[in-house]
Amino acid sequence: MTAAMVSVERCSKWYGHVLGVSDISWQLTGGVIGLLGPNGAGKSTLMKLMAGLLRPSRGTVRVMGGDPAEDASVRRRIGYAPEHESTYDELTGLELVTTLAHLAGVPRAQAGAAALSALATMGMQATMNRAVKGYSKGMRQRTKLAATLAHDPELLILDEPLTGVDPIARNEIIAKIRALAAAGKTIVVSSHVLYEIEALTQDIVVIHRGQVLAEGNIFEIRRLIDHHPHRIRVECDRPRELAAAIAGSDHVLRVSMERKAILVDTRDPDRCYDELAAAVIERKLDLRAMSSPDNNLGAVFEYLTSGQGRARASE
Amino acid sequence: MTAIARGLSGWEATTALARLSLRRMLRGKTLWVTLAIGLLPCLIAVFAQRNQSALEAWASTLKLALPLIAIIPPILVATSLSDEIDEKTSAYLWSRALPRWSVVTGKLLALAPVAATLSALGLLLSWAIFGGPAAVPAAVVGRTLLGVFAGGIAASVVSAMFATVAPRFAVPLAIGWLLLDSMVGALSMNLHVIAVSFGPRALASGTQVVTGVISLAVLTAIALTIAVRRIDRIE
Repeated sequence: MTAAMVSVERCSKWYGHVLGVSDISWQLTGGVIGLLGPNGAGKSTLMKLMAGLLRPSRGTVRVMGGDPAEDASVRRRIGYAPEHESTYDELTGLELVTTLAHLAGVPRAQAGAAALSALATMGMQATMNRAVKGYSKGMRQRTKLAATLAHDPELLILDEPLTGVDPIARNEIIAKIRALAAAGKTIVVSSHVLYEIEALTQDIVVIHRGQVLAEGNIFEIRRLIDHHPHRIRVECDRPRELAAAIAGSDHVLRVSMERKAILVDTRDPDRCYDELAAAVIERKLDLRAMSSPDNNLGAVFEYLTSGQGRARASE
Repeated sequence: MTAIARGLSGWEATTALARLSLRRMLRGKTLWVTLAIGLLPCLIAVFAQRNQSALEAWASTLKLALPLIAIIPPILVATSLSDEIDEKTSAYLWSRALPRWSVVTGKLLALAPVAATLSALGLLLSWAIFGGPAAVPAAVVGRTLLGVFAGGIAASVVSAMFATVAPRFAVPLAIGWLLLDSMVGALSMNLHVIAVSFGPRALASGTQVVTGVISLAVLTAIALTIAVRRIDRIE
């Protein structure tokens, strides 16, 4: 029997009267696992418990056999990338990753080389000497991932690493995470967008209202979500031009306009993201933001929380 | 990636965090704001020396300079620590292989000496404006500067304590507390020993020096203990 990399036993976490996670039991032996759930489901709380940022109110969390909240030797084997964007904006990317590598336990003399290597892995060499405050969302995410990798941890915990990044950066980050998994890292990655998780792994844990709702292969969930079109919101300088470029595709069900953005409903998110990226590059559009509201996933969660959905998801 | 993480000792973590805090401070605006505040006594000195003797002007300037201990350390130290907690950059620190107390000691190692120096800087320059040793004896000035510096260190630790107790309101709470403290420290009854501002006054006046030093040391130790215990519980 393989020893569990992460073992969560009857774990609950409250923030005062607010419930973060409720009586979760779950084990992870290795590979890439996706934590999927709508915003506020408890994914970040579970990840913080695994990374040692929080102590459980009840139950236990063991990572590589130790308590991550109490044992620093466990934490040095974990790389955690938080969901939020806040970072030390006054520093350059290289300074930030070097400092965080040293704080993660890399000797000071080696921290610079470790940071350079991690930034190179994430494709950030060209901009690593610029201040982080000038970085785009994609660059911030990649720098955060470099900081997560620099001390060569065995377990990576990545909280919504694809949130807010443009399609090109998104594809690059997915490729990097896949490469890390191929190199033998155990990776826990969260998202509220099924499509993002699907690009990374087939093994998922669905979390809803602080509880594990379903666990296993992504295909059943995927089949459910196919009934609910994936929605993408794109903000750019010439939204009408982008809408015209994408509207003719057979997978696009609907394109609606906002003042500076378009909303695309699609049956095939993979193709849609690729075509959006191609249209942006071809027409030299100024892409400002891209996001995927979780309305569609919400419908699936409602289905899963019903008795019928629970039965099918656990099959 | 070939780096092998081995974990940091408390001292290594403290010095690493001190370097980080110093670098951030030097690139931020807070240092310049506090420097401007720290130089205010020089303005008073320029006006005071026109109407008063050097010794009287020195005493007037000291009256203004002492409350700066209640303003500069909270702005520098409480802001730095509470921002770390409030803006969630602490997630990077809590998830790393370092003891949490080193975040408090690292900030203090870097910022407390700067806060204390800025609190005393205006007085030192005012002395030069008055004419140096010829106007006010160097021994008096030395004692006073030492007192203000020690008071600045203690006020920095108190500010760190407020940052861990109530991160969102740390700066106004610390300033309010230390201003109240400066009134208590000026009382002529024995109660004044519980005030951080009593130590600098005792050193400046040359009376009750030992009591002043012990008072500062005890208050600093209490505040540091609370800060270190609180930071371990922050989520």
